[in-house]
Amino acid sequence: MKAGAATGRISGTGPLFWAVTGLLLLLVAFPLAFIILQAIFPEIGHASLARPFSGMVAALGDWKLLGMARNTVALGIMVMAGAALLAIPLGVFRVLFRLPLGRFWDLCFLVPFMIPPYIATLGWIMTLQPRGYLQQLTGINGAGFLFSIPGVAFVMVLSTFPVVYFAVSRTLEAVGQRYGDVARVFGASPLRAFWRITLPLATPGLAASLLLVFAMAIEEYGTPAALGRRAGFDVLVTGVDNRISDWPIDLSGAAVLSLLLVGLSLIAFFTQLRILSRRNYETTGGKPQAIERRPLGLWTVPVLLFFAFAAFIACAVPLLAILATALQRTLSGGLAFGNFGLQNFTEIWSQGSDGLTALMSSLSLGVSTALITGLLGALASYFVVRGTGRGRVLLDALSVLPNALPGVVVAVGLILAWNQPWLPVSPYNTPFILLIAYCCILLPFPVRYANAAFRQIGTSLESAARVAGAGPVVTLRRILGPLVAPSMVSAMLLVFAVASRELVASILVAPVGMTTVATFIWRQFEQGSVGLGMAMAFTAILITTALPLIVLIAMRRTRMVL
Amino acid sequence: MSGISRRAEAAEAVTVRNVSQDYGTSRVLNGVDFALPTGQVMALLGPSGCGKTTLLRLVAGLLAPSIGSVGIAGNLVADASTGFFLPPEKRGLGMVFQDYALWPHMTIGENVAFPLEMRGIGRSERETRVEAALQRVGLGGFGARRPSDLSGGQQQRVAIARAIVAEPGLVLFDEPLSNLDRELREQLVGEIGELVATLGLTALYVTHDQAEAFSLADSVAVMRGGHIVQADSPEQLVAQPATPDVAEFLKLGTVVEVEAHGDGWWLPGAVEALLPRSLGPAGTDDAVLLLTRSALRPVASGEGQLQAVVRRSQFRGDHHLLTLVLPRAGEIELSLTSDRRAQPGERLGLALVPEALRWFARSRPVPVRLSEPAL
Ligand SMILES: Nc1ncnc2c1ncn2[C@@H]1O[C@H](COP(=O)(O)OP(=O)(O)OP(=O)(O)O)[C@@H](O)[C@H]1O
Ligand SMILES: [Mg+2]
Repeated sequence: MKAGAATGRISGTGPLFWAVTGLLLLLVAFPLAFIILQAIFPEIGHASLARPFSGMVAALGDWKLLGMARNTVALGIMVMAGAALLAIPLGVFRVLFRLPLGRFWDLCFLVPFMIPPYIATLGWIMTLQPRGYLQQLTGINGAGFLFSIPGVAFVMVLSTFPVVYFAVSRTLEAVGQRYGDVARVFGASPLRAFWRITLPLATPGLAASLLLVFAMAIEEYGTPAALGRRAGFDVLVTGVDNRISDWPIDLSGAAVLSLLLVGLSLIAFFTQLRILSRRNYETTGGKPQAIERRPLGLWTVPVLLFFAFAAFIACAVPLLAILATALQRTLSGGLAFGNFGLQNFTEIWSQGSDGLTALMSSLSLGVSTALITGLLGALASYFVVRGTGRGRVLLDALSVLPNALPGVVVAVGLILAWNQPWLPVSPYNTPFILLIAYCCILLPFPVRYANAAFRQIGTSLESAARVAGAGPVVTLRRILGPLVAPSMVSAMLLVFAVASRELVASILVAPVGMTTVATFIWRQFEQGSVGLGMAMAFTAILITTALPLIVLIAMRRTRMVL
Repeated sequence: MSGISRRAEAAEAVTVRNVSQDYGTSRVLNGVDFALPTGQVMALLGPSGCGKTTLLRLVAGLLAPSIGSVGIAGNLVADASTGFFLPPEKRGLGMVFQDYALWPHMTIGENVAFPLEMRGIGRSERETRVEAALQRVGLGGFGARRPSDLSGGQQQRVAIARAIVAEPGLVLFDEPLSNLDRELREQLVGEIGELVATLGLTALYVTHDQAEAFSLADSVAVMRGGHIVQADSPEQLVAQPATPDVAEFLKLGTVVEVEAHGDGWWLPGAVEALLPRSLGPAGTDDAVLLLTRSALRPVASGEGQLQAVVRRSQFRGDHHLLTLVLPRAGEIELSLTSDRRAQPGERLGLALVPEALRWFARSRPVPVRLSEPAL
């Protein structure tokens, strides 16, 4: 690697490079390989390659599988369409018009990111089920709607549409108004300027965000599991779950379904990448100009009502339902003043309770996952973006692949891989298997943040450090490290928040006797102690939102973040 | 003069009447007032942040004035007193933007065709006119390319083609060349000038480059801090700057404040008078004096009215620019042109050319009128 030595970067073949690559192989490639092997060789679990493809033929010949695949795609499309219908008008009104309380609405639409979809789903169940809060307050029973296919899509739209809302706002902010104004000068009416200029320019960013929503929808476990099963609506994710947790266990079937799911995710992911790399107009154009927002005039009140409605169903309903459930002494007592109390919260916070243990497990797993993925992601990204070695193609693939691995697939892969009889040691049935699962699922966040950060830093900064006499390692530590640190901290906070509430992998691979926040909530809900579960849900939302916020504020104080 | 004033109001392509513009609490334009006759080019010249773009956006209809009115081709298009406002698409303009603003998702041809399309012109005519406009800016056959494939100068040419393709009654240019390097700028100034002349365009041309303004415009409006300080022909501006500010901005020479004592005009702290009293305005003790470059002629040391010492000498291609101080008449720096290089520290005599002196009253923006033969 002469080039590497000449430019003075850490070359792509050093021991550190191979350590990172090896870890990623173990974390990502190893489980995926066993899904593929299991799909082909049904007897692999007994260290035998007998009857290749028989399981795959059986699974693919199963008409149920076709139905599940179709349901998955249909759900993805419905959620995508719903999110577009809700988020595009919201984004357009927010950016192009003078909307009162603009920042407040942005804040409202951040809330769904803080509520994991399964918790929001439970909130909606409490609200719309027979004798739920809606019926108690208005006499309307919404169970028929909720436990149906549109109901599943509805709840998922509410937890995903902010992705589209913020994408639309960002692209419109970057491209739309300015070019639209130019079109007005050349004779286009406002509507025509919007259709011919503003919308086409915003389309790539919009399409990419919709594909992200599609991927989120087909990978989601909690909502279809809690709502769809009662409607007889099975998707690939719940299908995989059924095959590995319900008797008779069908590992080959689970592997085949997993591969189908990975295929769909891969398609969504790469289409998204293609769109963004081929036509992204956000970076074109000259000096940024302040947006001249149009007045809404007579439309102000209807538009505000629209925003309030969206904020109400997306944030207020789930949060209030969770809180109301957590604060009731008994569910049968209903929403009566005398029925409210802090019982559930005290029970969770009492010394040695199951709830407190679960909380501590999840928080420590969250912190560990954040630290490991942060370090791994930053190093992998550094080698990929700045490295020179040929091995970086492999590393690139390994660090991008988890984007297309849904949690349920990672869980299946870990079960298959780490239960092989020939393994001398295995993390299976220890807390480490959860740590591995979380790291694999969440690695994409730090990688994405680090890639963006490294790309933003011009190579001349490194060159300047080298010219000033710093070696490659010193340059990494003194120059690049501090520059990417703020991005990495943000990514790690995100990883922490998501990992400490992760549901599906926790259900599937948690060692016997270990409970996490998510499995605690899920079990309490299934066993009927809903109040306790919701108290935990509320506590978890508070902690996983507050801790990152505190860290961010502390960093701002110390000027780590600009 | 009288020819223009006798024409109907419709002969004015643009009339801006007493326009002020506020952004929040800050007043960005303050009582701007001017008229642009049809077929003429007016340059808006001023330093960064003086409100040039804001004024252009007001004319284009991208902004409504807080006070005052705007008219285009004799029709009122915006009037703050009645709230009347005609949106930009109804004003029939062409505009060239500082950052080109070509739509990145359309080809060059589609970009240039857009104004024609908005005017409802059929496809075949559109195609011929687009090609003709592209030919005119030297980009014939570029129609199928994308804006991102072109260089900055080519992109700006496309933007010009887009602005003129529909033959609008008024074209607005917002610093169209400021993003280009000097050579390209000089070339494009020439091309725009030719285009303006052959098409007989009426144009408002915003720039902060004096050479650009002087070479393109029939009249130049010098802007300072949100208002027009002086609007005149380029020749008139140089000959009769309205204020010391204008003179300084146009780099016409050295501006100094002088006081009258006894029979001389003195710089503060001098041991010798700068000029005899009779050369300045009568009836006042203080004034602002513009020493234009042609007001001082270098002569041999000991000759002339003033004695100077050379600080610096810079070669400027066809002349030397000398920076001088007058050791006895006050520590001011003067610059003047000379045919020969001078050494720092060298002594020079300066001969005064009284006709080339410009006098202004202190802190009053109108020049003090001197009776011609007095000099
Ligand atoms: N949208 C806005 N909100 C508030 N202030 C503004 C806005 N747009 C412009 N300004 C202010 O108005 C003043 C004039 O701006 P303008 O863009 O017209 O200047 P300019 O003469 O075109 O300068 P330049 O040569 O740099 O383009 C500046 O002080 C600017 O800060
Ligand atoms: Mg400007």
